[in-house]
This record gives sequence, structure tokens and C-alpha cells, in this order.
Amino acid sequence: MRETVTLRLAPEVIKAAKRRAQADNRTLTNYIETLMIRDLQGAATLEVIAPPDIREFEAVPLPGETKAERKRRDALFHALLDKTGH
Amino acid sequence: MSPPFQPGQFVWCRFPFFEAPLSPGEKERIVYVADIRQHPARRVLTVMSLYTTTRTWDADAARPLGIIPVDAAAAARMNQKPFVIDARRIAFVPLDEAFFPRLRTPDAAIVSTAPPAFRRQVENALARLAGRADLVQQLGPDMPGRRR
Repeated sequence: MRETVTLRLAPEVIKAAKRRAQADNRTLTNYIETLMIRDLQGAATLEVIAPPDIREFEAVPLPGETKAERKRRDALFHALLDKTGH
Repeated sequence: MSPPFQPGQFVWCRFPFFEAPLSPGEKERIVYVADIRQHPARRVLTVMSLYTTTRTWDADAARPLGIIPVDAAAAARMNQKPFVIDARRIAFVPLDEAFFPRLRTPDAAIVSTAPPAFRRQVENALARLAGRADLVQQLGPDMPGRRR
């Protein structure tokens, strides 16, 4: 038996969530439940806070860093941002 | 402008909340510096910071990708109490006093420097996250000199 709960959320959050749910062709309830299940299962979800032009930022050279190490640092930076559309 | 911190160091920072990414967090906490980058035109620096917490991780609980628990012995070597790095929570924060209140005395801001093996462990965790996680991205915090 599924339970009914009442949530008090910010209107802009509800609006954005409805848009996302609609884009995924699912109900708002299903969208919220999926997020909750994923969080409770400990899924690896990244939270990245970054300015919109973050990709323009270049690695600051580090003392003693080799070209290969800097290349690896750059690759990791871009890999983390690749899924953001930047 | 040369950065006062280096990647691989733990520093005091007002890490922003995901819910309010444009503002410094309410209180200082220790973050792990994963990278430092500079905008070539505006010359401003951004610090790629990873969230840490002293809340211990239940050994019986499933450990999600990106969670790096640091036990008492290892933490003591890094001048800290046992803690957890949550590499799933990343903030690129401007290197300014709003986010780094101890910036005028960088020595006071730096808690410790992680050993190379630990740095590699964090880098590997980030690489695995980049390959497998669903990425949720939020804008902010803003940088000086950038028009919105």
C-alpha cells in the first residue's frame, strides 16, 4: 500500500522538477521517488558548483610538476565537466 | 598572482552549500584542494575544493564511490581528527577572503599537506566518478570581473 505524504517545497523547485519529470516522460511522484531511492542506495552522484565559464580556467603550473602530470590534471578537470554541457 | 595553496593541501574554507552556490557557507570547514586554476584574461584564481566532514562513516554501511574515509592514524599524520572526504561534492570557489577568510595569513589557512599516495587515491576516486556518475551541475559562485 503506497502512502501519501505532503511536501512543502519552494515553487521554483517544483516548477523545475515538473519540467524535468515531463522531459523524462514520468510523473513528478515517480521522479521524486527515483531521486530518493538513488540517494538511499548511495549512488555516486556528483554535485559540482562552478561558474559558467569554468572551462576557460587554465591549470596553474605547480612547482616540480611534469608535463605528463599537468596533462593528467587537465584531463581529470575536463572529464569531470564533460557531462555538464560546458 | 601565485596561489597561496597547492593541490593536495587541506585548507579552511567557507564551502558553499549546493542550495546556495553563490554564497560562502555559514561556517568555515576544512576542504581538500584538488586543483587550482586561473582565468587567462581576468587573472582570477579558482580553487577546486572537495568537501570533508568529521562525521565518521559507518563501517557496515555501503560506501558510495567518492567517499574516502580517513582513519585516526592517517588523519593524525595530516594534523586532523578522523574524517571523510566526500569527493562527490566539488566546488570551484574564487580565491578570495569571502570564501577563504584566512587568506591574509595563508599559513593559518593551511591545515596540512597530504602525502603523495593519498593524493593519488583522491585523484583515482575523482577519475572513477568522472567515468561513472550522473553529473548534476549547478552554477556559481561568480567570479570578479565577469558580467552576468
